[in-house]
Amino acid sequence: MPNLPDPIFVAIPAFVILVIAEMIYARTSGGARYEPRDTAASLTMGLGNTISGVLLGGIAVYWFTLIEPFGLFDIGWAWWAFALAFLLDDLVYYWSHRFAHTVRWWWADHVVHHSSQHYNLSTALRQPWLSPLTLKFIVFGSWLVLLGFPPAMIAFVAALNLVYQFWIHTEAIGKMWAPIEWIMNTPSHHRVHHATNPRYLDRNYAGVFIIWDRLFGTFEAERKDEPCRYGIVRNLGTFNPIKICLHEWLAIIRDVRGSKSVSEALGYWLGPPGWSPDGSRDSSKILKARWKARQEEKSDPTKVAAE
Amino acid sequence: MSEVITLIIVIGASALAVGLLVALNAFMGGWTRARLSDVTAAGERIGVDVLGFRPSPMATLDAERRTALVFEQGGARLGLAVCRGDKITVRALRPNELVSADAVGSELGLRLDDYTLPQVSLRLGDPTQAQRWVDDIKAFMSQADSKD
Repeated sequence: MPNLPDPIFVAIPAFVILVIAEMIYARTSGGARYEPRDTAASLTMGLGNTISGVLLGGIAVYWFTLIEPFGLFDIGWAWWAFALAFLLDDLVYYWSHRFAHTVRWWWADHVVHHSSQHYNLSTALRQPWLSPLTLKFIVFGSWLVLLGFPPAMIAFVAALNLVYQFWIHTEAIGKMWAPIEWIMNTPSHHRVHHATNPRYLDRNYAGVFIIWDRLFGTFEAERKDEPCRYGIVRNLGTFNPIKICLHEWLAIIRDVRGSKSVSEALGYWLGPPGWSPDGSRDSSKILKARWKARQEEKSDPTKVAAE
Repeated sequence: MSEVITLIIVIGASALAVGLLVALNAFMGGWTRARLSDVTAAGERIGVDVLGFRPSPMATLDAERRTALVFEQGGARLGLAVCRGDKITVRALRPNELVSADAVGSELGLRLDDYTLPQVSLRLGDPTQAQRWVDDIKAFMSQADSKD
């Protein structure tokens, strides 16, 4: 087994330099925005994520060590295996990320990353603290190990994937060269992903390659006539990292405790974010439907008049 | 043991780096505190963030233009717009999402059933105006009681 470096650890100095560079760009051009309390919250969440990785990461390591002997093939450490692992890990990331937006149990963890109303490089570092406890790594992380890729190789390519995603959290870069925009996840595509405009909700889940969204029908291009509004549907009223970390977990507990039946409790726990038994809350699906209806009303006012 | 010490040093250095970046951000400035120009703008903003919210003329803005309350047409929801830093956070409150409303002088205080936004206060023009809003909000909250 080769001695692989931790790409995230290696990239940290570059992260810091790029955040400072973007702050200067924000100050001088107005093409990006930083606000100290938001920056503090994002960076503190990032630091907490690193600490929780040390404290809780062992759970995932233990699981992967446990299932490694059951790998279908012995793929080994050839260069092409790294390339293939990177590609397949990105596909797994797409689905893992998609489920993180559509299953509330996983959304409770991932919402942390979306909870800033800003979109800058510090937002990239706003990460959850309790991820290993959601057991998402079992559902999505096991596939490549069971195929026979060495867990250390998967960890390496997954870290490279995350390092790639850092730079796309910026408003400082507009649309790039068309072929790049077609294949790769770019700042433009990822701005759409972080936007709460109904048109943009639950779109562009890609990590590195945007082709997965094109392939699975979740791609949405950024439009000049619809600037992105960042954050979450119900934006947070706090910069407190503990509250940012826990708010959706507590909301789930509260909803489940107030449930009138087991199916209702399951809906609150594993249904889409915003699900409610009577449809009185705003899920992405409901918001998109409401938005589409309004768009149709605008384009055909006679329809409304007739009704 | 040395690994633990290394880890503590790395975490300590990272915390210091976070502090320095935030200090740099504060020192450089470049953001403007958000303000609501008037109640119409506040209502429009709530309508953008909460699709389907139709603001009524029954609205108020605090003296610093940082917080606004706007009843929805028909009175089903109470819109709230709060400036936080350079951004605005919005709520469309149902009666059961309000815990209490009180006035101390011209200061209107609301407590919300909201983990990340538990309380809001608005400095209004005079004590009478604040008290009138308390009465209106309490009447609004009583809709929740009548549904129970």
